[in-house]
Amino acid sequence: MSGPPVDPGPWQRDVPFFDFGELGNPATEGIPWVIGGKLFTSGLRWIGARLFGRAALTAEQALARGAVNPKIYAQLQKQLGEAGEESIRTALRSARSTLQTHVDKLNQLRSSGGYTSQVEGTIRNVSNQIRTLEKFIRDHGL
Amino acid sequence: MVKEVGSYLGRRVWLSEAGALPDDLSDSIVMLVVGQAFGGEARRQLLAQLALRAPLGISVFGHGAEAGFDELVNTLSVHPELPQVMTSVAEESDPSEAIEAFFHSRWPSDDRFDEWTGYGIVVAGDGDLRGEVERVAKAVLT
Repeated sequence: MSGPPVDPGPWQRDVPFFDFGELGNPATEGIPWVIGGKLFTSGLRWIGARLFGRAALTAEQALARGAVNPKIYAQLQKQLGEAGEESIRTALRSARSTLQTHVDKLNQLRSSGGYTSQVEGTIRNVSNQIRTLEKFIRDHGL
Repeated sequence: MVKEVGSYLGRRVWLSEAGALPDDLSDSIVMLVVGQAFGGEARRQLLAQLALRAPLGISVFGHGAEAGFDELVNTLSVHPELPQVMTSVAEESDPSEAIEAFFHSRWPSDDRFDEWTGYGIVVAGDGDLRGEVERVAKAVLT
């Protein structure tokens, strides 16, 4: 009785499991190195994060998690009517600056080991405010 | 003593001296105006008193505002039991612009938005500064 062929193992096989020579196509050449490089970089970040604490947050990363707040949107409708277009732009400028100030403060607190919940809460809420302001400005063509 | 000086978008605007803070600030966003003579330990203590009353937000303006903001965040960072207090530092150097920006660009956190009924301005300084802030606030509100 003959079953399926048994793999003799990589040390006895004539043809290696993965022959880099098969990737001679210029379109695919170098892909293993790119993947390897990315894995290596991710590994270094992982080790670094465990050795030196969490990776520093950026304002862009915080903002990417922001969502529109309908209550602030409604407030902006009233504000536009009463205080005008410039007040909306002032609000956006101010919110962006507040976000950056708190991101810097958060990274500082993380490195010194302080409680960060209040600063993180402000970052989350200001990110929502910025998203709301951006949508409001788009919607009203300001 | 708390003095009503007007309203903005349907919410009352009140003014108070630093030495006569209302016990309950949980319905207001507060701007602290710090005068020349009010620095160091006095400012730090006042910010701690403000923070522990858990207003919806605290914005610091005036003499040593940057240092005051750091003190404020540090105080809040050792009181994780407090509800979210939105913190900021006014970047404007002109009182009129700073008060205007305060009305236009400061909001509570999403979870405390419905508690919001007022804007407060707390003045840490002499009678001249209080008079000047009141005059500017009234001018901005008209």
